[in-house]
Amino acid sequence: MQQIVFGNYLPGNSLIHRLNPVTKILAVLLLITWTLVANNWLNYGILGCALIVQISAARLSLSMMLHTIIPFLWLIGFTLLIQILFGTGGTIYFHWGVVKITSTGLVTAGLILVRFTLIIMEAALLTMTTSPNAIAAGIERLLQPLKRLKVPVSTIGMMISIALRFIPTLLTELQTIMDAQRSRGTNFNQGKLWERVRNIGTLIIPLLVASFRHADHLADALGASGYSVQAVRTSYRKFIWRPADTGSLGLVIVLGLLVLGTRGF
Amino acid sequence: MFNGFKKWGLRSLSIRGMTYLALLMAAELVLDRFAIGNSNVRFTFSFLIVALIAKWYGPFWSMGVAVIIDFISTMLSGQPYFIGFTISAVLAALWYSIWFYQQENISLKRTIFVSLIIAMIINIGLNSLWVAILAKTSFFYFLPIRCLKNLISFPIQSFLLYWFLNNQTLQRLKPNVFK
Repeated sequence: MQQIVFGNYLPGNSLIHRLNPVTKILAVLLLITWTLVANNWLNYGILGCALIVQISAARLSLSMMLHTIIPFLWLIGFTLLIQILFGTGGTIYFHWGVVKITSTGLVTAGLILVRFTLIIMEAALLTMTTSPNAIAAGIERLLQPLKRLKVPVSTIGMMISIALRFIPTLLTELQTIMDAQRSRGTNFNQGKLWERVRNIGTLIIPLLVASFRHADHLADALGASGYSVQAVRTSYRKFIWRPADTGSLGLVIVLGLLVLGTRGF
Repeated sequence: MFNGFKKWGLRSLSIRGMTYLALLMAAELVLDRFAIGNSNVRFTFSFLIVALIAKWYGPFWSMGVAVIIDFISTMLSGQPYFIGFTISAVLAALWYSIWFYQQENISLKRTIFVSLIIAMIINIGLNSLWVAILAKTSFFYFLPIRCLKNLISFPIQSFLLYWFLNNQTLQRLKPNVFK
């Protein structure tokens, strides 16, 4: 349970930390799109340089950023291995049955490695410089245009805030339930797949019962304080749009144009 | 006709309905982190919460929550966000809503059918496509391992869904979620 961590936010006061969460969410979505669109070394070089500039602007170390790739090593390794062993085209270096190591296969594997690294580090940069509550506020702000379609954006924003607030509480509840089950001899880490699924399954109903108890108390408290689902809501924390936000988004768009301009068709 | 549309469309939540849904979202985020297996073949229990939200709240809210949870979960865990997986999450929530919304008792046949379609179309079909787009590899690279994973997880998911959605404790705790 100690391994279950939500977010990897590192508080700071860098230029990137101070940006509006809306800017950062939009920028990351655009940067991931540019990485998906990129198809040659020049494209990836441009995006890589931009990422290094962002990391230094966020005052984070490159080794810290590289650590974010560790959870994905299995997926990356598996993809690279298949690409290296079964890639076709170019000079053949090794050939044995269906296994074929070629120059094109090696180049493509290299591009895939860079592509995965860029995408993962771009996403990690957002979570390292933006608190979960700021991300939630950013999502709520991005949903505002849906108000015109009568989507209850304030209610959704309130639900996101409650959900994020109660994650640590539910983790503590889950730990207590697990300890109670362990004291009765349940082992969550060993056994056949079905046994482990059954053991974890026994945690879910008590966890939900505990969650609903909190939901009941919260509903009573909200009702008593006159909360209305329809009322227009204000926010305690305001995220102001600054010239730096406009400039940052502009740079990301220019970067996209540069990638499109140098992209091979 | 209009009542049917109203039942399946956007309905205002009561305060209790809102707090229950928020806590279900929190539980889904917690269970999503609690997985068996490795990063590629991973079995989580969050689909049970998705199915419960679909059963209690219907398609609009379950699809909306699927979008938000997919985005927040991806962002909070530092994983790269890709809209394809959000589409998968929304379609799964819609599929659960079509078969479970406002159903008192759910048969094992129904949970097997629902899980089978999700395993075949969403988990094996769409999710393999999204990984192929992300990695710029062939669609068939990850297909064998995904088929194997779903072959193992599909019967477990079907029985877990049947047990969970017919659980008497949960049925007794269901509040009046709409106004």
